[in-house]
Amino acid sequence: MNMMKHYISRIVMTLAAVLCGISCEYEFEPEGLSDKGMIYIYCVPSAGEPLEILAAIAYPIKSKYDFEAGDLTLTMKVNGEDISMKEDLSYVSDFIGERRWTADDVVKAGDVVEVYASAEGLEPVYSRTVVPDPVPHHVVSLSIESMDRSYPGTSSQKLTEGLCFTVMTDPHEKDCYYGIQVVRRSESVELDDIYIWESDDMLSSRENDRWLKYGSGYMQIYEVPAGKKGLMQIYVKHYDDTQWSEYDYSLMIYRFSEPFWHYANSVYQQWWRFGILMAFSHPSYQYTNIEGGVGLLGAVNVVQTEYMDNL
Amino acid sequence: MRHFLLTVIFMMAATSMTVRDQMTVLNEIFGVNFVYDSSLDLDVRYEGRSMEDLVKDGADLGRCLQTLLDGTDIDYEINRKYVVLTRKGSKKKPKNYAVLIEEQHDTLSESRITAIVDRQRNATQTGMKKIDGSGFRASAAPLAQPDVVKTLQQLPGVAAGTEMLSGMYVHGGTGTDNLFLLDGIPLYQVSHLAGLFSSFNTEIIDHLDFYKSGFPARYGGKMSSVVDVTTKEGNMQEYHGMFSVGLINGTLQFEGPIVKGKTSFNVAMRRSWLDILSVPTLAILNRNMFSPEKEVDVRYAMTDLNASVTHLFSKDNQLSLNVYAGRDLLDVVWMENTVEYWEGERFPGKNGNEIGVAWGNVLASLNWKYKISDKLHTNVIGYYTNSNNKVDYLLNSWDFSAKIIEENTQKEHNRSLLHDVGVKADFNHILSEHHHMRFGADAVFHIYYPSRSISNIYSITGMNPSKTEESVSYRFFGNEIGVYFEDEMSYGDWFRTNIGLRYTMFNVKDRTYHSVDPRIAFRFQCGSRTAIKMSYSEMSQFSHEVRSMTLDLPLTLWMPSTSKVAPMKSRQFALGVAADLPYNLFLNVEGYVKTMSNIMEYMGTSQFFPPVNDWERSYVSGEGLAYGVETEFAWRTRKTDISAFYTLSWSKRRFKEFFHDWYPDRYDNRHKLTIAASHKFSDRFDIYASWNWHSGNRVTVVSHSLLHEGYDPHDGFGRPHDFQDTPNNMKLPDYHRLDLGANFRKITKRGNESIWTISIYNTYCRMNPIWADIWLSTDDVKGYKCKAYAVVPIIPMFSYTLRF
Repeated sequence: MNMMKHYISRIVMTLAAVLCGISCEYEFEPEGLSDKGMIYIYCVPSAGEPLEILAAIAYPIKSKYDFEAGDLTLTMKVNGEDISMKEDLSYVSDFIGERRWTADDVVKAGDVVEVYASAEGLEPVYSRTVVPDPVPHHVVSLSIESMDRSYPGTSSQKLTEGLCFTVMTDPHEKDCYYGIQVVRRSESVELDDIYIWESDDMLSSRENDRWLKYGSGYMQIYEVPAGKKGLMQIYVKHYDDTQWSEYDYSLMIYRFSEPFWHYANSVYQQWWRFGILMAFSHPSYQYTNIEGGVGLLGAVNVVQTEYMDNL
Repeated sequence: MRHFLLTVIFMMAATSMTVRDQMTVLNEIFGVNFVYDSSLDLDVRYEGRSMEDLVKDGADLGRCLQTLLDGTDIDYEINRKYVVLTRKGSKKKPKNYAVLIEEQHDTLSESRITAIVDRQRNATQTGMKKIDGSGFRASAAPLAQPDVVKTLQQLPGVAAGTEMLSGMYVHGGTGTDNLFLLDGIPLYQVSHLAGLFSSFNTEIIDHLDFYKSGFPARYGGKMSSVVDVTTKEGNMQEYHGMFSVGLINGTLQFEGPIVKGKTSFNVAMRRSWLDILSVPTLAILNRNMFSPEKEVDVRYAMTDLNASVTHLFSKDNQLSLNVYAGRDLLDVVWMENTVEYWEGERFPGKNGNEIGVAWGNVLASLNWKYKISDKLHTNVIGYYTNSNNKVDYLLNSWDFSAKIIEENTQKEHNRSLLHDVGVKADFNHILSEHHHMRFGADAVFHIYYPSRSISNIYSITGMNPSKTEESVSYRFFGNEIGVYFEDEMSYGDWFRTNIGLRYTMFNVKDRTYHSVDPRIAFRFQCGSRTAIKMSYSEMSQFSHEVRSMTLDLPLTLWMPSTSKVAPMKSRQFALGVAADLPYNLFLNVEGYVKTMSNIMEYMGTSQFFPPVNDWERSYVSGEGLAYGVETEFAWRTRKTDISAFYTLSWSKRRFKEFFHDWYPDRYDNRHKLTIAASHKFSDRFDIYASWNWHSGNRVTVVSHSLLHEGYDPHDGFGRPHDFQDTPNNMKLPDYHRLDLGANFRKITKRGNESIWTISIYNTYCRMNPIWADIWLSTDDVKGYKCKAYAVVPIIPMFSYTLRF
């Protein structure tokens, strides 16, 4: 019997070794990838704020630095009129070659913003967006609910409060895309952090509560179909009440353009796709509305609630 | 004795040379029976060379028939065991059929004969492939086991998806849009072992019709293809059967009369052995090789059963009961038993996870075929079919610290259940010599029942355990009613049309969808051997198999069209030429253009099982476009069959949520070539070879980057800002593999046939990638590394089959 066990073990080990040994990875020359650089644009005009744009020439992975491109030139228009853009030479980016331009002009809801960029040897890019209307105040309600529930797998952290924000969209409304951020301030009255946590609803977490890194923190994003009432919730969890009571809290309520929504969704999806999951997922692609290039020309309109200190 | 009888028959044939006599000779030599229009005069004198002489000179059945029927008004088609004879140029449906060998007439019901002749007449359609069940059984196959889906994957216009999995992406389809019918009833799960085998047991297949375009109006419910599998009725006269034992599974089939000439049965089942091997093996490994704390267990088992009972009330009146049940189980356990001691006290615990996946179908149908009159035949079916997927997951974490035990147990249960209860009635009406009508209706009641539950139990020494449990389940009731009408007319010898219309109403909750799908096919006959075919068809799909991964695994949910998810729809135009060339050559060239709307892509974040709650929000709707040209070139003789299939195709997608323009589909294989050859050296030995090649599948990878100032690829610091210029922007290396197989046949002393089948899958061990990635590298002069990952090596297999 022992002999049989020995033989079976040896056979299985050999078969497993053969399969594992033959299964392999190998290098190959990629086909289909461009060896030309591409212009990258990131610009999210916010109503009431001056224009700001980041741009760079992204190098092709396939040829790395071995490609040629001229200097980047950039033009912006608001409602068809050229805007004077000034490069912010003091800007220090984390990324090589990324530059920042600003304008003194302030955009407002309904403005049409266009971007043109070109560089010798690269395809010129173009994009257009419309600054969305603000969140309709008369149909918004805000409430605070006590949740007092533990989150699976994070037993030591308690969800104690939820900020519930309700919006009612118009049946004929477009761009019914919203985002909320929780901001907190300490006694020094300076903006400190932006907090966001996942929902405690295990079944819909990640699917329906999507978030995006935006500004210096995270933003939870929602789509509320036209003519429907949408409930958006942010759950706040903390270890003890001491930490909580040190701060005042406020909500930043965003309304953004459709491209921004698609971009936010794709970034969120990519965050969850990694390793082998990426291989067998549906196209995991970072959305862009920059024709001929990559990046985003989105637009937002944001309102902020009063700070609340009685949570 | 057999030799003497043959000699007598040949002598008789030599002296009495009528066409019928020569047919008898062919029956003896080739074992084929003749089904023919009874109005044909087969007793006309035949003046040519005898069939015996022709065969001695090496002529095959086709050449014999060509010689025999040359100068007559009789047309023929070889349908494996049968030769169908019809009046040349006549498009009418014969009033009566006759069978040459009357002894076999009992086993040939009227409906069977009708089916044989109808299939020949259906050649009006483009994109149709007929495969006879005996074809599967006669040849060797990859993995020593013939397989329906793997056979269809070789055909032009069909992309196979990921290697070894039963994906079928027809004319740029989504892979979830193929209508698989088993005796006319939809089968929802068509794969075993993650697609290694399909659910169709080839031992009971009588024939299979595969449509890629030119869909007749009687088919509906899916968007891209129809695979209509008809099973064999049991033998009415004698008991026959087979068993087959392979490396990983076995098959058993048995058929025979219950009441001779009246009632028969046919039963077949398959069972895999992998668990029988894996369970004791892993038990030994657990004991001898892994550390005593580790417990590793992998168990996979699949089984399926086909059973049918057929009763002939008369030759025009038949009732049959068909049942199919298939089930797959996969359990994976990876658990570490931990024991901690504190002050002499023992504290056992477990860390690890368990995954259990089960999937399968049950299908039952009662089928009544009745010839109301010579001109009107009917087929009424009542049925139940379901699809049942289940995925369970358990994660246990246990931590011990200074006599404090912290334990967390998370359980997740996902299930997708779909029940269909339906009835359908089809009528064939022969109005005149040139006019044949089909019409019918079907009604299906769908119950979609997805559910998901998660529970979490947390306990820590000294505190009450906390339990969180949430579950969600939905029931959607869908009513689908379809009515169709097909009208086949011929205008002289040169032009034939098949014009049909299918109306479908689908109702779910408060939403009702209507679709009217035109189906039009034309055939222009240019001479006796060449035909030009053209078709336009629209197909609608109301049930969606949603998934969060592209792999063809049973981690899917069947969901209905709702107010937020519109039905998928395809529109396809096809044009082709089919020609029987001299020297047994055959050429078929077809081009197609297909558009698809409301196809779905997943935009959520679930990694394995799609979301149940508010699932519509996780999917985005888009368009598909596919076009291409496909060619089939074949040389077929009695002993040798060499076929080459080539496809040049484009498959594109447009989802505005992904990208503003069209981008290539994941399975946009620009070129696809399959060369398959088989040769029968003798009755005892035949071989098979197949070489498959296609352009690589596509994946989405980083194409451009902004490099971080402090980027260090070794410690991952300062990740670059990466971009993809388009979805599915990189092509994987080309796919190719060679399969070889051989059958060694022997007739035993008792007259049974024993067959040893040996096959080698991927003979030259080409490691075809299933995935690839590209990343920056400072180690490489190119500045990047691009790696492909492959898992399927050479796989030798064998099986032993005994037919009795």
